[in-house]
Amino acid sequence: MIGDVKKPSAILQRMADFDNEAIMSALAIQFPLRAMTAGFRKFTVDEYERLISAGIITEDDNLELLEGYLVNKMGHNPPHAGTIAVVQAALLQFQIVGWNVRVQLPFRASTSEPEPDFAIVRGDHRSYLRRHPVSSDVGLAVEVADSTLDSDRSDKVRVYSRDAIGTYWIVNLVDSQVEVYTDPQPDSAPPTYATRRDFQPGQSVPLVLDGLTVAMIPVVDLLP
Amino acid sequence: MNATVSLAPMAIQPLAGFRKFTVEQYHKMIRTGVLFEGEEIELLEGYLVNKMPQNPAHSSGVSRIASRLPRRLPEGWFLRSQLPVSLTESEPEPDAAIVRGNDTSYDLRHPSVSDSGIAIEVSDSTLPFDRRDKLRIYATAGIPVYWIVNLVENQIEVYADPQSATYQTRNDFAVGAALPLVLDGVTVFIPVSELLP
Repeated sequence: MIGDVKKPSAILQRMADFDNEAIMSALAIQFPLRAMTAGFRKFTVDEYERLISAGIITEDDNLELLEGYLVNKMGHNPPHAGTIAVVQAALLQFQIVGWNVRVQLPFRASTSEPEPDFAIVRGDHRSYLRRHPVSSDVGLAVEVADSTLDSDRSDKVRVYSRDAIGTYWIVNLVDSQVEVYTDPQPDSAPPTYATRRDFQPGQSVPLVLDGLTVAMIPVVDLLP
Repeated sequence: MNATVSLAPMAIQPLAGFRKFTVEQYHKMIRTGVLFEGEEIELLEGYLVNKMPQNPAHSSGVSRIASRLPRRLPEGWFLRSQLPVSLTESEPEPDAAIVRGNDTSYDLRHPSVSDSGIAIEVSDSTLPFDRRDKLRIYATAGIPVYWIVNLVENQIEVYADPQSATYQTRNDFAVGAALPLVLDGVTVFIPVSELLP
């Protein structure tokens, strides 16, 4: 079972030397080695949604589709879960006309169906009864990062910038700051955000939707 | 060993792991058409893994086994080539599988462990995987005997006595030797030269 997983990418660097039995055996415990070479079968967003409608993936599954891979989401420890409540209160204090705050709900991106901790999407609370939001509906994605900081700064940056989500925040519990990523570059290899600005307690983060600053939120209102 | 096998970039770093599927879910995915019939994939320990493309040495090794081994099999056994075997958490497609019955036995279901006598992999660039991952999968399932037709070192490795996710015995046979084919306690000897180039 995948318990304490070492970061595969660092191990992959060393796997270039195929004769290293120790590395191979370490990885073999985690998942079939050949998955590293021929690759996992990836799923499209449509296939993912068919897996859900066929009941192969159910409500009990805690998953995201990220760049074609079906990835288990981490469970929530109290600092992470508690900060969700804190950020929710900070975002919901404003009634932003034309936008709605969604908490840990999916949206359809080109090769992913992520469930960001928060997404501010066009419309109101009844807009997505028949379909999920798509990337162009999303003005801001927010992740609260504790143990997931590395992957929120790499995998999620790629996923959100690939689809040109205008702004992406990481509420970084490790370093007690809010990281604001803007200027998505979907066509760079890999996709990324051109600008990152970090905000510390004492400062305020601008909430920008469609290029318009609709609010300034004190960093201390977003952190535990 | 082919050191130039490239690593598919594992871009995602899942802390909680990739989603694993059961064999039942895998079958449902095929039935509902999420997976296309004939997709080149296997279910290995819950993961859906793409099969590797085959080079001529490998394909030729597979077809040699498929054409020469059947005449040696005792009554009641037959050979299936690169077709599914349904295990508890995997559905691999070994290069050859010696299973009970005949070509009408598996119209409604794939062979399972209790139907399987020998799993055979032809190994060229896949030798490390066949010795480690496939071995673990077949031993864990309890397939009694596992052969690796090792094209790199020109020998046939016979693994037997599955226990604790591995095989307790391994014997290697080179050209010139006679290889024991053991099914239900009955042994037939086959010249290795028949099966290796």
